[in-house]
Amino acid sequence: MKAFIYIIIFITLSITPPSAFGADTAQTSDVVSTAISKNGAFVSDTLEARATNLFRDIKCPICVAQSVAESDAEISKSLREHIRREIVAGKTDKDILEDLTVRYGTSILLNPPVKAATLLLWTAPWLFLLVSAFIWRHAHRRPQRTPAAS
Amino acid sequence: MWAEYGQFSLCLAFAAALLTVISTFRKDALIASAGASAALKAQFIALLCAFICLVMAFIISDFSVTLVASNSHSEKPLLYKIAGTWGNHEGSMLLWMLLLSAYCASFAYFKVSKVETSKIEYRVLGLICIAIIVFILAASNPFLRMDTVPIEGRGLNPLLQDWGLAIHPPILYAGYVGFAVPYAMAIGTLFSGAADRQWARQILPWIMTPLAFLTLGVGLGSWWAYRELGWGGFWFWDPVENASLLPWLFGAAMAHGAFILKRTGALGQSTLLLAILTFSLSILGTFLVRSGVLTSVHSFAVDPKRGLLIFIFLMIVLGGGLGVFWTKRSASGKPITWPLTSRLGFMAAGIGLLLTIAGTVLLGTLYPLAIDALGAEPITVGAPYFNATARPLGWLMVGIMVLAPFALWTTPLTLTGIIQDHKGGLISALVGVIAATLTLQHFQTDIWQALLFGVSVFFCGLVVTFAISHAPKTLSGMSMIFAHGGIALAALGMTGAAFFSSETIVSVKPGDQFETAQKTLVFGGVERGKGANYFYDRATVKILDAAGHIKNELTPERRWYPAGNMTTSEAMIDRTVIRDFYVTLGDLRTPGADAPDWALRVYDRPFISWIWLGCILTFLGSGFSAIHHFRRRRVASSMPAKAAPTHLILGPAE
Repeated sequence: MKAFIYIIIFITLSITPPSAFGADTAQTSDVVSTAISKNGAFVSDTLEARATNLFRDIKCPICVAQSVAESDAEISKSLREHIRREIVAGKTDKDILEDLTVRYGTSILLNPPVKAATLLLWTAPWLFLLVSAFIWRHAHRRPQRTPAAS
Repeated sequence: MWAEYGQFSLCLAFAAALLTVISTFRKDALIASAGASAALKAQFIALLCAFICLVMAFIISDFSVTLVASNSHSEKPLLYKIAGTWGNHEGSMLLWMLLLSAYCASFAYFKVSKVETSKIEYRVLGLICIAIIVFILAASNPFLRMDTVPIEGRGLNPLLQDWGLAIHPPILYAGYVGFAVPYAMAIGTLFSGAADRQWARQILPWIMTPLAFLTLGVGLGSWWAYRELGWGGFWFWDPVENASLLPWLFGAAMAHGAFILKRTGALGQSTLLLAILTFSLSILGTFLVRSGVLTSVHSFAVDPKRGLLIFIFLMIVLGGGLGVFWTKRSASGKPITWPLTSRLGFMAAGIGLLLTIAGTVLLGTLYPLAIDALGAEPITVGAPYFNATARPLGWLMVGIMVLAPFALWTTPLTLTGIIQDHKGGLISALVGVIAATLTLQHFQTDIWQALLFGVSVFFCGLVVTFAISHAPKTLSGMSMIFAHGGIALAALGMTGAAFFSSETIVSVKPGDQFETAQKTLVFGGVERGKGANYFYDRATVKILDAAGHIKNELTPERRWYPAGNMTTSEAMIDRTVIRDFYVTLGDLRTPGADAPDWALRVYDRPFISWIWLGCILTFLGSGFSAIHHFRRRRVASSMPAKAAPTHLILGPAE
């Protein structure tokens, strides 16, 4: 049992940093320069990182699985410019995504929002995990049988 | 004439497949089995002829054949003319069938099952072959001719003109069609036979061979996407990529189930079920790619009739397999007696996690389709979803893989077991510290990420040193180290790439110098020219070292293919062991100006090549295991089956 606890601890530690869980990017409230360089990107690294994080969550409307960050399509370019302008205008990430959803529909979000229709999508992985863990924990206690064997 | 010869050979192959099934109904089991075996081998020869005919039609650019006219071009280099054979729906289905037939023929050649069982195995394989050949003849015949012969072909999608793509489909298909054999063996065993330790020995080579090819195929696909699609990423969670990942996850789970079965005699029924599911997922992958329900760079043809036919086939394979499993399964398995934290316990947990990840990927891939079919507001399930779900699950799996080697087969893991090996621990700790310091020095990152990376390196080092000092120096011992070491290396590569990557888009004039990712680059300008069957804009970008000397010169291109009117971007990569420096040429920003501005995208991708190194290691590991089990299977078949020991003996890994 002791080893089991070690494993739990190890596993908890081994799970990647919060960014891997799609955690929200830090919203910086500091006064930073909103200047845009010649290349079209923000001069400020914090703002550019925030913009890039947004680009990664938005699907290029005419591509298959590419995000706005990856796509070279004309519409992606204008979306990138649009998002940078919105950031300069002081909108929050949530506002920007909401505006885009109104214009292009929910399918523009690569990260499907949690709502009734996506409840299964978001809970199922953890349910699968629980079921696997349960089977793993209990299968060894009795003679192994096929799932439905009575 | 090649098309006619091909058509004729294909019909012969169909006859051979029919003959396979018919002969399995002969009363005398020995004759039935021998007849079917011969027919399967004959079918392979017929299909090989058919395939060669199609390749010939492409080589001589016979544009009277519809397929050649719409997918080839007389100016194309010979390699891509040949590769063009499978760069389209019809040709790739024929290749699929050829490889399936190759597996069937070698299965017949290496046959070890009892005649009663092999009769059913051959019948299942024969039926699968019939279904696919009928599909090819009826809905995707590559040999059809045109009434009016065009002077020139329409060319091949330029994105697909790459040597990586030339070998990607054959290897990937050699992966997923191979799972037809475990499927047939599972059905055969359900009807007559038992999923016991002897059976595990027989099935293992047929699991490990396709698994090895699939590993390489998935790796090549990602390698191709990285180099050719020009976004500097290696996995896009494109539905088609997911379709190739799913059979891999299930196949790996099945392999570990068979290992446990071979060692202990338990988990036989689960392995049977996994064999049925794995092949079904391979068919599902083919359905998703070929039916056009998902649009992607891989969808050559969008034809609902084809989709429907593959869907019906999928339902028969899956429904039939599950039906047989349901009615014929045996409820009396061997009890599981090992502790949870023994090596066997960890293996079982690994199977559970592989299946959890597979379930998540499957759900994420199919969910938008289901939502769409239900008429709800369409959604997209993209990379952020999989990063939030599959990635932590993947980390759990790697964590278990790290712990498993330290546990003995049937005794619980203790902390002393881990720290026993001081020497390996010291070396690994040293390597980990070096890794952390180097990353801190070389990449813009915070100390926390560097530490985490160092810790990951430490754990992987621990496993590798432990495995090297403890595993038997045999082919099977090596196969485990290679396969798992490869996964660990790939995981490190993915972590490194995710943590330390950076990208810059710059707008430059010829002669401009700019700094990015601690390097100085000089943009030399762009020259225009003509390649084999395209026109290019080729930029020169020099990379300078600290002293200002030229270290490397990259020439990323933008290509325009007149046949098909497509533009592609050819990235160039400055590669070292610890980082890739990836440059692509973007648009002309100011057309018409004397000294025009060009957009350059520069990606710094630390550790990314470790991913493919890891894939190659895992490929070798699974390959070694396949070879080992092919040998063992021969030995086993010439000897009477050994009785399972009453208790498990601690011994070397097999």
